Amino acid sequence: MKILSARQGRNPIRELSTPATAIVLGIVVFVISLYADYYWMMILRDALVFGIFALSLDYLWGRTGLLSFGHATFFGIGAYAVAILSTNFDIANITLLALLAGILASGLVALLFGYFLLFAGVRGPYFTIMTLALTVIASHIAVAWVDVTGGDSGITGVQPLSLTLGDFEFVIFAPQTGLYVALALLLILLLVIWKVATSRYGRLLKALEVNELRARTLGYNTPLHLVGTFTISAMIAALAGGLYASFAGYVAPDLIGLLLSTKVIVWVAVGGRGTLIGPVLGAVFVMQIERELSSINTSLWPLFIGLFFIAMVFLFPNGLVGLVQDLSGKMSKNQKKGGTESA
Amino acid sequence: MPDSNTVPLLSVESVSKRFGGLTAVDDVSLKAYAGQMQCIIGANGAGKSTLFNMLCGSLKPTEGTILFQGTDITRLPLHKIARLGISRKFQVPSVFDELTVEDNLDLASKVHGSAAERRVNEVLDTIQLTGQRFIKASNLAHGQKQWLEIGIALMPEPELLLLDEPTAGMTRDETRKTAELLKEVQEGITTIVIEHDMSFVRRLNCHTIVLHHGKLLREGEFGEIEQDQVVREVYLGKQ
Repeated sequence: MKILSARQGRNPIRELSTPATAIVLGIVVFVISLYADYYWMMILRDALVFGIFALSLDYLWGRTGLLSFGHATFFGIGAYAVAILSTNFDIANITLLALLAGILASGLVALLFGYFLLFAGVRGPYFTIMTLALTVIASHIAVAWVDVTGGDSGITGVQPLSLTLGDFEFVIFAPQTGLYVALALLLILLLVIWKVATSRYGRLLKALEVNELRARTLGYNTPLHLVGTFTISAMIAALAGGLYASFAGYVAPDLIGLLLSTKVIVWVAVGGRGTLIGPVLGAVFVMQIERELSSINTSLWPLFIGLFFIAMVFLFPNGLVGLVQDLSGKMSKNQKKGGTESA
Repeated sequence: MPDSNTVPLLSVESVSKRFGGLTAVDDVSLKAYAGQMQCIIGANGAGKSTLFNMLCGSLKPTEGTILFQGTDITRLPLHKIARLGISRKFQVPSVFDELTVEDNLDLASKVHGSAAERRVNEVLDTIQLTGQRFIKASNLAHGQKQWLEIGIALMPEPELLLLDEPTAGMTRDETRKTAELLKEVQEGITTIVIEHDMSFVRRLNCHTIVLHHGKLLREGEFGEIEQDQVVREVYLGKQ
């Protein structure tokens, strides 16, 4: 019979790693923003927005094990809602209202889609394939519904996010302001999701991934919890999409397509699925690698990214943050062992 | 056995389950009374686990009715049946491997906060896993996983406890401890146990039901069942 010491299964360093790393990330980004030029400010701002997008997928895939190939759909709904509404209506706070509308619309699509699939018992690869179909349908709509979406050309002239209250007006136009807004939202979301993940509810979501039938026999309405998680995840993705559209000033069908859905999976897998901060860092890291490789070879860089992804999955299946956590776990074990031997 | 005027906690009435041309459970009826322990025995394929699956709601009967505390639960979804007070332990240890022993039990609790913590302490003490409280369930030995699963089933203080082969894969010593554990926790909880190990059933020495090819073959106290010529021929004779 194995007897292991108390608390061995819990690593307080791991449990604290998300807020600690989030604070470090916030400080690092802030310091960089003080010295970065206009171009790098935009790069960093977009990386943080895609970090929010990666976090949205990690909330679903990392917590419940449900892999979605349809997350670009939700990102795209957020982006197109902001673009369509802000270019067609000239009222105060339209971009902000459009952002909220996009988030709600995305949540509604996820709720309906998730309800019919998850309550019908569709799980695992079958669920993933259905989300893939959702992305294909959404990107076809974006291309074919030219009158509304602008077709292949997309929509330009998207209004920046602004808040008008009487005489007070705050417009997020400069990349630096956008960067701070994206950073603030990312940190808030990271801390909120971390709080959920380490709560009893977070453990229930993990339990659904490990053994859903067992959870049902304990009285949990598991499809309901999965639909809820899928919906919230889609709403976060739409927030990222809406922010991107308002910051960039344009939308195009590639924001709702299969390529972006695949990219976000790569970011999450490279950073470390289920680690929360990992997918955010994965998004920043992979996007930077993409930029460097594409400047070296303009045609072959996707091949190198693909090889890099395959190598990462084989060598470090828990991603970069998972690797750091495993190493820190081994080091603390060795320290304990050394301490016991010397005693 | 309670007298015929007592209302049973669980009443299974002429339940059948067919998978295409195969009849896994064929017109089985049984009753379980409050505080009673029963064993269901039978060879592989006798329909024991299928019957359990119907009792807890993971399979719906093709025919028949299941009443629990007078409520028809035949078509209720799994989680609603669990909320009524039916807990189950699966044949293969079915715990949340990625979670600690404590978190496994906590998730099964119907109460929260300090009340849940007290209940976790009680159950840990009962299943003798207090020392393993903070380790991941995946790191437990097989027997400990079985006990943890019994603990999970006990956590919500169920009215009816369904245990599917609680000693499968256990050593002789672990089997003995499990029998003691069940006798200890059984007071006040109606328990139905599926088991292959006849020495374990003998230790429990309770009302026993024999299933054979999906049909109810015999029912009675274990002493009578053990002496029954037909049961010996189709099942016990091989033990």
